[in-house]
Amino acid sequence: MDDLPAAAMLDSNWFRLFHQRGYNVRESVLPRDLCAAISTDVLRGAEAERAVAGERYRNGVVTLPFRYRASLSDEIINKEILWPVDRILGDNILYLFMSSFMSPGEGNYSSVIHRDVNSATPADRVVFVGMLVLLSDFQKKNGGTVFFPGSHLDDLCLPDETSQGECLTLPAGSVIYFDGRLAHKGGVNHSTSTRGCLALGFCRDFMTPRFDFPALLANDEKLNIYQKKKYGFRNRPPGSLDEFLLRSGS
Amino acid sequence: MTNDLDLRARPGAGSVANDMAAAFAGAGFYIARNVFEVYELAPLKTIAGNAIEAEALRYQAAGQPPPYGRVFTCLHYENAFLELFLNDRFYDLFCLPLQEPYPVLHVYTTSSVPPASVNVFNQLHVDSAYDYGDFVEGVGCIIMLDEFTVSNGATWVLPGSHCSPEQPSESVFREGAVRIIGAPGDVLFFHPRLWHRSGQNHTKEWRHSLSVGISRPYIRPHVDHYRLLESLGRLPRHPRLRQLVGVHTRPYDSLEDYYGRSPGRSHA
Repeated sequence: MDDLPAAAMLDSNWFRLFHQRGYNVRESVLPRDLCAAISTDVLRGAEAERAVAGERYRNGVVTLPFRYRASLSDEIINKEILWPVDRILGDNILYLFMSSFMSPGEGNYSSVIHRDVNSATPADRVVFVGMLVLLSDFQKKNGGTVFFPGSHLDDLCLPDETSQGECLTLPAGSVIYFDGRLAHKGGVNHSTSTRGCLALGFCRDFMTPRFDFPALLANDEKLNIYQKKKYGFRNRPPGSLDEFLLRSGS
Repeated sequence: MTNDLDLRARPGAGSVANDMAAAFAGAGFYIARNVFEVYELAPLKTIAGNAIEAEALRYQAAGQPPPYGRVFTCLHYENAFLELFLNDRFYDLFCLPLQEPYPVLHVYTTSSVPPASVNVFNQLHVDSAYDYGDFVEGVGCIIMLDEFTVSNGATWVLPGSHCSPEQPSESVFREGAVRIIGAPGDVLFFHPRLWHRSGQNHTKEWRHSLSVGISRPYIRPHVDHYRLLESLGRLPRHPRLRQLVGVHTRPYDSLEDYYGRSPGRSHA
């Protein structure tokens, strides 16, 4: 634990609340001007994304945002931000890395109650942690995410749409960590500004990620050891006899 | 309740499901007799034997000791191995403990014991490092290609040991373990946390079997079966086999891949 950043040394009460409510937050982890710069770069990717996706494009989504900002891995995939994830999950890898923006007057794909983990998973173990890095202030008026505390412990059904959840009011740069089984939804943006965040998911390292990050980032020579581990470079199953024998040391 | 089932006796489906589910939860394994016919398996036995020898040469050429008895994956050699899953009796018995509509293939290798020797599975082991109590994340099976006898290395299992978070001591295992004796075409199904090991082969012939595992769809397989079969031009067409090799669960490797898939593709 000696190499952990001092700012990440959260007390055990923080983790107790995480497991009890299904989420917890750290406020103002990233500086506001950095959040603005990330938003600007990532939003540029929306048009490129729309061009590839065609009619399947979902408003507000930029998949794989590191494609549009070379420094994003350094800014987000680091121990300062991910230390709570590492403590909750143990050995883990990135499952998905997206961004979610909501224009004024709109909701987006996340605006219905959902869980990020729907498959049968062990009832008493966390196998997936979601993480929202807020790129703008989050509040009820601009469609801030609504969580349903304790719903991660009830795998049988989702709360109905009339249920009252908790909408967190947080400044840009804050990070929300949540159990993948926790029911949540985005709201609708009734403000005059775009509301945005990065949405990441982490799973145990014996699980299959949503994206083949080693293939997507094969040419990124700047990734450090921690980032490569998070992106699953050590976890990609061999796809040929040659790859298998190479790993076996022959 | 029994954990030994002969499919030639035409047992009723309901009682089989109940008995096997109870056996899996209690003993951690069940055996089904005559699941496959010998003529179905004979060609696979030949291919498996040749594959073991071919891979051993690759290891030796690199100065490495070969993991005698285990190959990279049988799917590298022939799709006929995968097509054993088209046998409904086998598939249903295999999937029974998972109650999972979208199982995927986790591992498909050989577990063969060389003459007068042991193989890599002779060490006491479990197939899954993760203990989730009552939650079942996968199922393993051994398909006998040869007769399993006391003298040719038949598998040892310790009944009920899948409930133990700790490895049993050697003496506990020796006192409680039972031998899985069977004929070609018989199949041992077992919990991935069941402590087991192969025996020593005292005969002059190989004792061949296939070691197969299925899991829930979010578990990372030992081999990227999709990428392998796609590169070999042998992706199956049957929906059940496509599900098993990960057509619907493999990670997206490009933005185009993410958006270009059919609506039915999902992580299930």
